Amino acid sequence: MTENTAVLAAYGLSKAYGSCMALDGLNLMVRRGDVYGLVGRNGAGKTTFMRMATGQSTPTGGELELFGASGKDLRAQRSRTGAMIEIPSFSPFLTARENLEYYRLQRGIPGRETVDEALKLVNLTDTGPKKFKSFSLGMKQRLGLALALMNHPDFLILDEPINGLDPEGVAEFRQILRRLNVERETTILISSHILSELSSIATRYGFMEQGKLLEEISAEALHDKCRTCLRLEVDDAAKAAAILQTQLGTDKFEVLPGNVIQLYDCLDDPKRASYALAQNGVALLAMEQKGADLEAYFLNLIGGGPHA
Amino acid sequence: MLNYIRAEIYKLLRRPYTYITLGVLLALEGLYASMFAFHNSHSMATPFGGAIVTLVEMGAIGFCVCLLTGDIVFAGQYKNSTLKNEVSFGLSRARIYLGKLIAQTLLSIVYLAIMMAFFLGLCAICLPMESSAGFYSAQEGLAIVGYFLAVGLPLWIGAQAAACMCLFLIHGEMAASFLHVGLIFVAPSIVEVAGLLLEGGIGELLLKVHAYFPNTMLSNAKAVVGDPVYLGQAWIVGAFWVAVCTAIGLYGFHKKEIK
Repeated sequence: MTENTAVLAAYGLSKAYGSCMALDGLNLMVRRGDVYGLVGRNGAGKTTFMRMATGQSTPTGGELELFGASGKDLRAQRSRTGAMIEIPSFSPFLTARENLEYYRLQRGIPGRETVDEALKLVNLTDTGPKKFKSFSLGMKQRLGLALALMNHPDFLILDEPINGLDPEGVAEFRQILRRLNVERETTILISSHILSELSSIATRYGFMEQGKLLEEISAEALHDKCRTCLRLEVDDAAKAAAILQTQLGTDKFEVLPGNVIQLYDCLDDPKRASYALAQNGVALLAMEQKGADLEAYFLNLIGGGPHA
Repeated sequence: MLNYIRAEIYKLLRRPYTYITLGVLLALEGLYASMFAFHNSHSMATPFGGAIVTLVEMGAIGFCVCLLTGDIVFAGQYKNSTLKNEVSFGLSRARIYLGKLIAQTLLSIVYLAIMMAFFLGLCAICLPMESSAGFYSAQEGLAIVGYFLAVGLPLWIGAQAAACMCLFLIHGEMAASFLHVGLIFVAPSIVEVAGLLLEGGIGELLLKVHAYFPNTMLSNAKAVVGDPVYLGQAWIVGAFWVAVCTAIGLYGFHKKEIK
């Protein structure tokens, strides 16, 4: 795809809080039609980036483009977006319907039925006179999503949107996002710590660490990378790699830190690999067949950190 | 901007705080008016004109009401983290700021109209309209109150702009209230004392500056009833406070990180 299909693009985006760099020269592009999953540890810079995209925070360096507009023209494009950043926040003394009506009036969205449609979409039509302050976290999340969807946005920015939702709510939420993406061609930028859930909807991933983008990868490419493999732990990975190439004639393997090799060949006959290594004086310390998932891939990418 | 103001009015009409505050203010007014009625039943009667001119001693209440209406409209936007919903939709910060200021001012004017109508109506019902010796007649009383309101209105709007600035610049309504009280009530006293203590041109300058603080101007209005020059000065001072406070508030709000 070409750059003119970019919905959101960051070029060398930086944000410094004193000496701490929350974003450090971030380059990232969300293309039209993407469901872009942003993955990273706490403090990696995901929320900071989303807050910049929604105008809540200003960058200290670099440039941000939204629908091709940057600088002073960028703000006007935000009316084409819907956002839910961190915990949904509303006036505590208003009901769900009143809160949405307030924002409908404020944003000049025509038609009072818009509010009912948004509430129906997130299954929040039966809260009646209950005030927002009495809502459960799940109800707050649903209302936040309703607000984000009320103006039929071309681009949704969702930060941890499924926190607090019950399993049924998570499934509904997943269906809503899929439908929006497929039927309305809504582009979605979403971050979540529930990586299994993210992997069920994302079409593209960006892995962030310490304010930088470590890797950007499509869901298909990630699937290929996470496919089933033989994990070989040896005493000399370089020598083992050479043996696999010369003796088994394969280059379908990756050498990982800690003398580990992931071999995507010989899956139906692991003995061939172990035999070739043993014959050539490489000690095979462990061997297992495994398939990585998004979480394992991410942990591996960041060097086995304790929390995703 | 009209959409924004409409939305603010929609919200404040659904906020119990709007009605509770007005109810408390009217109850206090009723109590105040009933004191005259109670006094009349025991000794020398205070007529309508004599009672209503006492309002000119209560201009400071208007400055405090500005803070309350400011708080009602601002609705704890920092505490509730609701500003992000407005900014993320692409509403300009100038529209957010000015929309809230206009809504606050409209609410203050509605409060003022209701409170004045309630107090004058109550006095008209409970107190004799005929003037008696030593008291203003009803006509004189209304003229004095009318002039006081004409002077007070721009000064209260200036104080409203100050309240809006404080609420936007400072997280926490309590701290914002302290700043507002400091600007409207404490700062003039400090400037006056400094003016009296310092000799020469600086002292004189400070005393002149003190005379143009909203609270000072409103307090001095009763001594110059009917003076059109003073009335003009009040409107200029009010406009100055609106312009300066709005400029500072807008600048600060533009720089703020929204959470």
